[in-house]
Amino acid sequence: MLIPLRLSAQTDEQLMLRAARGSDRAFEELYNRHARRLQGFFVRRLGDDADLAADFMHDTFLRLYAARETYREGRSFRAWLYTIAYNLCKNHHRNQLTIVLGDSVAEETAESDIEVELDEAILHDALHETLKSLPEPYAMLFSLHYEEELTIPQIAQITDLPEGTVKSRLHKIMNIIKQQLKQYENR
Amino acid sequence: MKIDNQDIIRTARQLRDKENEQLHVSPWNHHRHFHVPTWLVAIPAAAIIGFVLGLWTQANTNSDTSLTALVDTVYIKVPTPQPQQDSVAQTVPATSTPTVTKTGPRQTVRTASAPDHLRKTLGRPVADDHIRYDLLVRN
Repeated sequence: MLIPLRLSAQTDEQLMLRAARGSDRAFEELYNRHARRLQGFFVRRLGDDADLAADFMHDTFLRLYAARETYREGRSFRAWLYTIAYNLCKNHHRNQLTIVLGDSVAEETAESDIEVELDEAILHDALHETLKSLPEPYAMLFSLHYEEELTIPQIAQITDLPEGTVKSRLHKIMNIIKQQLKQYENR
Repeated sequence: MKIDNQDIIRTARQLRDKENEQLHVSPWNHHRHFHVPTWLVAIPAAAIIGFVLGLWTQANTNSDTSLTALVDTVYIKVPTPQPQQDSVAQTVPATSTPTVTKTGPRQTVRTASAPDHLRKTLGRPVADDHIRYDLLVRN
């Protein structure tokens, strides 16, 4: 099998496999690809604390580096990376993420499709505020799926939830967001 | 404008990109806990390179020079006692002094009435200048 010489031309999984075999340059390439995005994820999940987010990002990659030899071919790199990140957030929030998403707000909004009308300019600010005000369990799922663009099976693997549960919760979360955006309609 | 799920997702990603661009991300090496100091690598490396270079240059200097070329010709002058002039010897007609060459055979001096143990004298200076040419060494 021919291996491309340029690291930038390789997939995350190919790079991780090389890192698992001892290539520090391959691991550095992975870091360069994902560090910024992961740090941004932590900033949003840890309440805009940039220093703490940088520390968490750093910690995530160190854990990944320490466990690099356990990587097996075929495993999704991003799912692995965000599993570590998710667990760090979970520990930080002291098991807040284990709260069952079945509270009254979710139940109320699950069945109805909410219609919202907003100006494009207002939407930016309104969504920014809305996402900040979301309870952490909802915000985490929203972030993993819509911001970090992880698939539902990957999120199920990361959060250790059934795929159906992830899907239904994402639907509920979208309705919660719309309901909160509705408050900005008449401003 | 009516807002649907896609508008929310698109806006959320725009916000994400905007926030991510403003972040300062340290390079990976900055985060490494263990650093090998540069000097710890540079000093032994310089020592090894110097040692190898030294060996190499010395090998080049002496490789074509033979050991014998370094040693000059050595002449050894051995002071030898004058042969005794006895009366018996004077009666014997004088023999010509054999010339000794460096590669010549051993010379003997015979006297007519000398005792047997004196008749053969090995290694005696036979040249006029009393130099033991047979001991002359050339390297």
